[in-house]
Amino acid sequence: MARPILRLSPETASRIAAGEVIERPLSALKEVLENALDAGAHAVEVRVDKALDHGFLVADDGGGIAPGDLELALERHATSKLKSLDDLDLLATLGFRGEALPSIAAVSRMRITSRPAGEEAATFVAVEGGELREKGAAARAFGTTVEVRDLFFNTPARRKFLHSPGGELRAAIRMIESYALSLPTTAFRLVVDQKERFDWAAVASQRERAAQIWGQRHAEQLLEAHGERAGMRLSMLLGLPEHARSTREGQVFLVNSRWVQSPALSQALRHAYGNLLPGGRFPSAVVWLDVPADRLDVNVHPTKREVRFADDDTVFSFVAGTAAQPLTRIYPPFTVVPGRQGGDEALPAWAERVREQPVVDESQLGLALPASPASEPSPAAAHGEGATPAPAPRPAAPEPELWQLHRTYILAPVRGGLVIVDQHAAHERILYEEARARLEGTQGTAQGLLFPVLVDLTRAQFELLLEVGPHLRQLGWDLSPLSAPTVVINGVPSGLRVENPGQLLQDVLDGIGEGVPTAQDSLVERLACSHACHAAWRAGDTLSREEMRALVDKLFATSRPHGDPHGRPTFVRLDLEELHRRFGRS
Amino acid sequence: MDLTIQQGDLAFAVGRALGSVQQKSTQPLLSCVLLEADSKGLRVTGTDLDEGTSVLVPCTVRTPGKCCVLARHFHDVVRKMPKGALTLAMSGSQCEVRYADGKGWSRFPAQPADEFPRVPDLKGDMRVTLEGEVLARMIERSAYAASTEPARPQLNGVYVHGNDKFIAFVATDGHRLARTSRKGAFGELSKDGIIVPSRVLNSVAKFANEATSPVEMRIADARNHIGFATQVGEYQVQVYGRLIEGQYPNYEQVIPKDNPRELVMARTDVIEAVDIVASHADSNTQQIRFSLRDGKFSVSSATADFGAGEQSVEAEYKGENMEIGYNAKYLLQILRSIPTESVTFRLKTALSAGVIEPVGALAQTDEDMLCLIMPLRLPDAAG
Ligand SMILES: Nc1ncnc2c1ncn2[C@@H]1O[C@H](COP(=O)(O)OP(=O)(O)O)[C@@H](O)[C@H]1O
Ligand SMILES: [Mg+2]
Repeated sequence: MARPILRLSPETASRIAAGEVIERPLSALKEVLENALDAGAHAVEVRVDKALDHGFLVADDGGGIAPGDLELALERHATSKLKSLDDLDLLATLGFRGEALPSIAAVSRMRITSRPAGEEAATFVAVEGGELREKGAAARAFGTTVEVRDLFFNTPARRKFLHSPGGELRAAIRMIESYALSLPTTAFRLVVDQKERFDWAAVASQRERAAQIWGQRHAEQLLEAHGERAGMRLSMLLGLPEHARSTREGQVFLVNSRWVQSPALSQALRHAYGNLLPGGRFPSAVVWLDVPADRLDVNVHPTKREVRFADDDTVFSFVAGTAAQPLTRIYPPFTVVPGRQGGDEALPAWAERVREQPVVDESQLGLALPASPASEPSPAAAHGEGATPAPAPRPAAPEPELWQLHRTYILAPVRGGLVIVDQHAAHERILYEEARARLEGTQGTAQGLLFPVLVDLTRAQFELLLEVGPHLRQLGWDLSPLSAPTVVINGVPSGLRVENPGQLLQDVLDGIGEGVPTAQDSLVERLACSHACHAAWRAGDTLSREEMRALVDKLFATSRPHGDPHGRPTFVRLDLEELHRRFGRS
Repeated sequence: MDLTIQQGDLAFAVGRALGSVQQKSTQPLLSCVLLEADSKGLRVTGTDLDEGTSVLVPCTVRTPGKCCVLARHFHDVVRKMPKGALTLAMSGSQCEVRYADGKGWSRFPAQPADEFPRVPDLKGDMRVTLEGEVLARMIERSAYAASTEPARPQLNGVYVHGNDKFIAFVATDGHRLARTSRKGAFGELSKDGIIVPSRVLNSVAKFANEATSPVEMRIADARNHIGFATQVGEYQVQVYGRLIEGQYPNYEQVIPKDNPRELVMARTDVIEAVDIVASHADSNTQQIRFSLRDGKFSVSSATADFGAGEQSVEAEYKGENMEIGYNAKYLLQILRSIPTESVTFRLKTALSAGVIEPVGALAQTDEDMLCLIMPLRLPDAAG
């Protein structure tokens, strides 16, 4: 049954975090979905027509709104969930401000149809730009449908700053996923343009819900952790270190059932993974945390995405400690391979000077060794190819022309001085231009894989993959989607050192979604940037002489050799004149 | 410690032990070799914890003892000393080397030996014996195909497995695969093979060819360490290493059994063609193209930066026309590892794994080899 909606007193209203509630289409959907969940729905259905800002609706089977309250629901600061500010300490609902519906109504064409339990029929209201247009009876089963069309139709300036419809839809999927994780006993269904994207029946456990979302195989790999402390309850599903991502997008925080962002929880997770992950990678995890309502401030930000814990430190140590338990059992092969970053501090200062020199000069051993029997082919031919994995003595080369410094920079003498190239930035520039060329014309070649790689993407990544699939193929990826959200990698762009194809693919997809797109950067542009950024060599990668050669040659053949796609310099030049001057040679 | 040793023997031992010493070690002791004198002779050991080499050389030991000296420095000096007898003794905290003829001496700062990592003791464990040249050949035919990327450590080694009929060495980086086998009874290996780091095998290959006795592979019962022991003349050489843990991919499953298109060519002809044409290929992708048209075969490549080239090769080909891309470097490595005059390519589609095999029996008729290569999908390829 419907609870009565009341107007908040002006004092209470004024103390509730004010500001923009509906900043983007995603926020509108989030508010409407949260209302459905607050109404105690057992099943929610979200339908999207083309794009969120074009039209969406959320239908639930919850308690409904009494016919007499329908118009009140559209008034500011009218809510059935809170009477005074003190009630915030007992808050059990996602909403509490009575601000969402009026805010959405003001910038859209909205229709609410509701039939509370016990009513014979449903009632509807239709609102346009905040003005009531129509009210009447309708047919509907128990529950509420809120339909939002033409968002921001009356605020054209605002429309200009919207994310791409695809990006907004992916973000929406991530949000619905998060609430589906929050409430496994509620069924969730999503339909986009008449096509069903998912239909998750109510299940009994968090892990079953995870299996619905990510597939059985992936869900089985997740580690479980549970804990209780000081009135708090915690459950977690933790990704293996190999599931770590280059962004925090793999993290879902559900605090008192609310989907929130939390740097504190994110740090606690990172802390728990310790050296299982190299720098710059974020564990993927779902965290369900219940804290007493009076120990949590949800009234921090108008979008309610942020929360404040009364006792940050306790929460941090509780989460980090609980997460660490299953992680300590992880054993190699999951340990981090040393030497990626900062592994070199212990080296004596002269180390780089000698590093490039041959290790042992066999021909100079005191003992004349018999030459190996001249079997065909000679071992030298087979091993001299440079791909032999051993750090075996390289054949003594003539005076090296290029040096790698700290596995980060390449030193190349040029006429009148020295050029110092940043290997990552330079490679990024090269790959970026190659990617642009491939995306606009000649398709790149794929190196086939003997052992195709199965990757479990997130729904959002999978959505994006469907969207950018043809472009990825242009870059040289050979992918075939298996049952969503799993994809098979049959081939990777050739000419790259792809250590971990699945991870590279996920990083590239995540990279496309990062940051706020601007008008001039298209999807293709962002894909090229993300590809270049994630596929490029990093500081810490040892390059062979041929690789350094190719890098320098190709850098100076690009259209803008001076900077990487983000505008960072790719090289610095040191003039002999400058050196002479500093040594007092004048 | 006090002993007399031939300069050549000492230089050999230190030189070989040095092969397992990492230049850029963070632990000072790991830049050293360990010298141990006892009634058996002088044992010189170098290690980086993942791999170690230890050489026992005959000498006259008057007082047993041990110490550590900086590996490279010691080697650099000793190998230049005049041939003939040397005496080696501790003088305070220094290791002193004197020419027996009295003409000269050197002293090296020495470190106490107690902290030096212990060589795993592989005495009572599983043993497999192979002739040195057989072992060297099997390493040479497989190890090049192993991966060097740390992400999948299992692929950084050579998978050695067998049963009572054969032993096989397999390596792959996921782009190509090399497998070589030899008949014989190797039932010890049948449980599930072992993965030996290719680094360790490359150290082994260095002495396996000179071995004057069969090489004994000793595998720790816990299957975490392996040792290779043999005799090189009077020297007893042992290389040991940590095995790679984990499951090797089920490679047999990816070996195509029914590739219908068969192409037979003289090996040196393809090598020549690929080598020349690859000069026009992109330096990273190394992409070249095989064209099979009307019973004719040619190799070509074209890039904006490096121009273009084509060379035809005499070949027997039965099958439909097809174009297929390959990484020239992978192809050359495979072709160079095959000893026979002719080679067969067995292909199916431009996207699926190709088999490259020797034509006819190998010189050692109880041995066999097979290579796989994944194509580069050409932009115009179907599928
Ligand atoms: N799907 C729904 N089912 C039942 N009641 C609803 C639903 N959506 C909105 N309402 C009612 O409308 C009121 C106003 O909603 P809203 O503006 O989102 O404010 P809040 O959620 O903060 O109360 C809610 O308090 C609730 O009583
Ligand atoms: Mg609400």
